Amino acid sequence: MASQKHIFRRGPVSFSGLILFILIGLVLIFLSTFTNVLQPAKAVFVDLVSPIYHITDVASNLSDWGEETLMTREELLAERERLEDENLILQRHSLQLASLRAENVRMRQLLGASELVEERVLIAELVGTPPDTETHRLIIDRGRLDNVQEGQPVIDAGGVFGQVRIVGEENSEIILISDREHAIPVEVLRSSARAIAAGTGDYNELRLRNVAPTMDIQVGDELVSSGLAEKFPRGYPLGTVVSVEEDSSSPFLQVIVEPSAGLQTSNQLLLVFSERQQINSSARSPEIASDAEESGNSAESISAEE
Amino acid sequence: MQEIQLRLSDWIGLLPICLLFYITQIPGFGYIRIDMLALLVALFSIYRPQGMSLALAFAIGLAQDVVSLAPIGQHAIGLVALAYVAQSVRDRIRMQALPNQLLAIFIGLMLVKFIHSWVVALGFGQIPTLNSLLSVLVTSLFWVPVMFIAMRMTRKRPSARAGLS
Repeated sequence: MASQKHIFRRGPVSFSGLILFILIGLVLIFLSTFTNVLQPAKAVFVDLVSPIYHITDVASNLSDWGEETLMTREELLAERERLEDENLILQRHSLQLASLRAENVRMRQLLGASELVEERVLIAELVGTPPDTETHRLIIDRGRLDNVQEGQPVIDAGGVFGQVRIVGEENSEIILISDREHAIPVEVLRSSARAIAAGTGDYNELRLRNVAPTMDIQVGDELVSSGLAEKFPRGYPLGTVVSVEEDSSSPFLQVIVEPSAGLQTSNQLLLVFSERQQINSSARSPEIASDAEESGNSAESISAEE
Repeated sequence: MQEIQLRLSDWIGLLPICLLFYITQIPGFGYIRIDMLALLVALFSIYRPQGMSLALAFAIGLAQDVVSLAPIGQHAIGLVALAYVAQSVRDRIRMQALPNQLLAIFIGLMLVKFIHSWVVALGFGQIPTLNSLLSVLVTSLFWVPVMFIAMRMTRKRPSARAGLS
């Protein structure tokens, strides 16, 4: 009988072993994805891996340091001039905002619908980016010790950035608005039309879900958080509509939004503490301000209308 | 092709280096990640299968899951499958020249990526982007320096110098 040639030669490992480990892996994936059984372990992992991310950040830190160190005097002066101009513009906006806020409060009082929501923000530094390119997650240097809570909104200088997903003792993992798992209720600033903006896995693109053709939305419209899901406070800029197209295969419009936050560039973020969150954790709420002040991080209060 | 001798203890020293390499972001190319851990598993499965049991490959995958904050088990399944396949065809791969090995490694890494993408699609309904394929391609190119380092390590061994390999 002719000897048979096998493509897969029997190795030192058994097939039953392979099946066993695959089954164990599938069980772990199920527990990790669809249940909260491994959530406490994940919170520990966030703290465990953050020092590794500090080490691996050396390459990009060196790159940043090189760029900053090699700047010429002219470049620095130009940078200063640009910042001074920007500061003047921001001061003017701030004055306008204060005036509008006061007017808004008066109007609300007249309507008898005044509900002031105190918001505090806490500055957080980016620690690292997990290597999985399919998901948009980041690790920040704030955790349970700073009163950070799951689902807490995160913003940057441009607008809504994401929300806290897993909270460790000293670090947390945040999910970006561009992650395909993320969605946020939004409002068109011009027409007050509401929609849901979902991540697409592309840092420069969000999509509005289920937008009816009758909805008043057009290219160039600014979107802000509507506050409907009670996670993101109302009024934070989310992005600008860059494309509105009809799709013959769908009864809905295809609306693409460009995020206003610097999802790939921001290193300093702001964790927003609304009054509601502070009431929920009233025992710890005084620590929010004091901790931040002690550590030299500016925790400022912002009054906003909701 | 020169025979490569790897000690059981080699992977202990290489594991943290590969782990650091895996999570280090390449400035300007954050979307490309070099999966050195998969290469490590492939290397030991081919050249020192006794030193890379399925349990060890699974444990390395779990470490990878923890570090990348992915669903626990996602990378572990991929590395176990890679270890099994690599050990099953190790003799054929060892006989090949480096370019052919490169192709085999690319196919192996694609298997890992396929399992990874399948898990992600099943759990989150996400389809992988082309960036992940680019990562696989770049990672497989790193097989050449990995083999070069492994050969250098072998040359320094007394048994290799004495011509015992």
